[in-house]
Amino acid sequence: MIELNLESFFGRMDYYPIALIGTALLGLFGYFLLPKEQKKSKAIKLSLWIVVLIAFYENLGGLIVSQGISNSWVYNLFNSHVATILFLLLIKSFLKQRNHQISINVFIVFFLSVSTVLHLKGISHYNDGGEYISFLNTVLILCSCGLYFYELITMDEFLEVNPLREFSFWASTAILFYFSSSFMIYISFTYLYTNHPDIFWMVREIPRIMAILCNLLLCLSIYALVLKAKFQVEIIHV
Amino acid sequence: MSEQESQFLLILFGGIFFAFLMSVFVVAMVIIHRQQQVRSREKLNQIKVEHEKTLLYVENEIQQETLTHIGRELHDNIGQLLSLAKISLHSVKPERQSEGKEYINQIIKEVRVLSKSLNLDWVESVSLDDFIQQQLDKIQRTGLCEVQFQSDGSFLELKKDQKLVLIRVIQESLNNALKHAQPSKIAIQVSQHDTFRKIEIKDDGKGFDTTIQSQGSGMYNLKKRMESIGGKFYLTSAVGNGTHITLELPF
Repeated sequence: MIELNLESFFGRMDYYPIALIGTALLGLFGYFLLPKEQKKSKAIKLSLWIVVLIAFYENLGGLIVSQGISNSWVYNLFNSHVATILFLLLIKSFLKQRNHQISINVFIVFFLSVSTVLHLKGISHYNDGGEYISFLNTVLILCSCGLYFYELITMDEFLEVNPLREFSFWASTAILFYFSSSFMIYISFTYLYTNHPDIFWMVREIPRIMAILCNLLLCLSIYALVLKAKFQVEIIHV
Repeated sequence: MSEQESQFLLILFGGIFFAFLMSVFVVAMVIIHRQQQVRSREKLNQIKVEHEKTLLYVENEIQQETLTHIGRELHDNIGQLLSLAKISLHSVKPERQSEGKEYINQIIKEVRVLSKSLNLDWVESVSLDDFIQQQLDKIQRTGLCEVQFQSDGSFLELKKDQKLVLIRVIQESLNNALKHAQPSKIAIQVSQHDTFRKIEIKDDGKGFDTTIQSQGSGMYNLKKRMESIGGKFYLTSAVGNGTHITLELPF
């Protein structure tokens, strides 16, 4: 049995895992403060799942690497697959048109199929940098955000509201920035880590900061509803 | 500059450029959304103005119809009664004088009824089914054709503007049938479906070829009026086979 070296884990802990645990706890606390009806909202449930999942896998990754074991499979499984699917489902919950919602389902099935084929063929490995999968999931997320923005400027339902007061608008924007900025870093991770470790440690901060911002925004969506329920003021629509 | 520094700068500027592109995209979306919102509002306002215009026009038409009806009533009914009253009151016979007083009482009643029809308040008090029945009774009394009316009461609850437009469209459809089709029978049926209710006006008159462009704008106006209250107007007709008009209104 492997003995856990918790001292090493806590020794390596910096602001990032702590911030993620903080947002996850904040999200959970906010969720329990919500009225029953609001708890049923798909967007809120998915936001909470994403916040908790990111905190979980980032800490799991940290724990594994602190034991001297490669943690790439954690990121490949949770970040590249599970979190991507949750983000796609979150964008799907913002969409109003049936055919666009079906497109997201098709994206998810397509993504999982291609990933399975890549892994079975040996093109991708569960413990590698996951460049191909990152490329694929970023493209699908960008397409999904595109569908949302298309609806935003064409559908009457969206034309009646102010997008700057819409949670779906800010969430889609945050997801768009998170995935596009992370993508640039993820595809160059292996190269930078091997050839330029100094640059690697610097640019690694970008997806980390984006992840914290994205989680904070998702938490905010939960608290906006809590405040709305408490004070009956309209802050953010979900 | 070392190779490491230049690569770092390349990644940094690449990232900044990418983030800039994303920001431009999002800002562009917000600007386009605002523009679309303004266009949508203008369109809505235009529809509202058109709707109000149609209502005003319909009210005017109904008032014109009412004035024509009052003129006819004054000439054919009240005028006659007044002449009879005058003759009776000039008679020396007491029974003729009491007849004259009876005529005066009848004239007072008729004038009261007519005065009520001068404003559009009657639209509020009468149901659409009652209105259709009154119109068909009038046609029946002229002896021009037979009439038939069936209703399941789907149009008993209506907004005033919807009722005004429907009254005018039904009136116009019946007038057209009598004026141009010379039917031997006119039938009106009111029924409902899952999402809408409908009024069908059928006649067995001459009918007409719907593919030939009409000189007037009567049918077009009726269609536009139905659309102004969120309804639909359908017309089918063939030479020798009568005309079938359907007015649909969603719940």
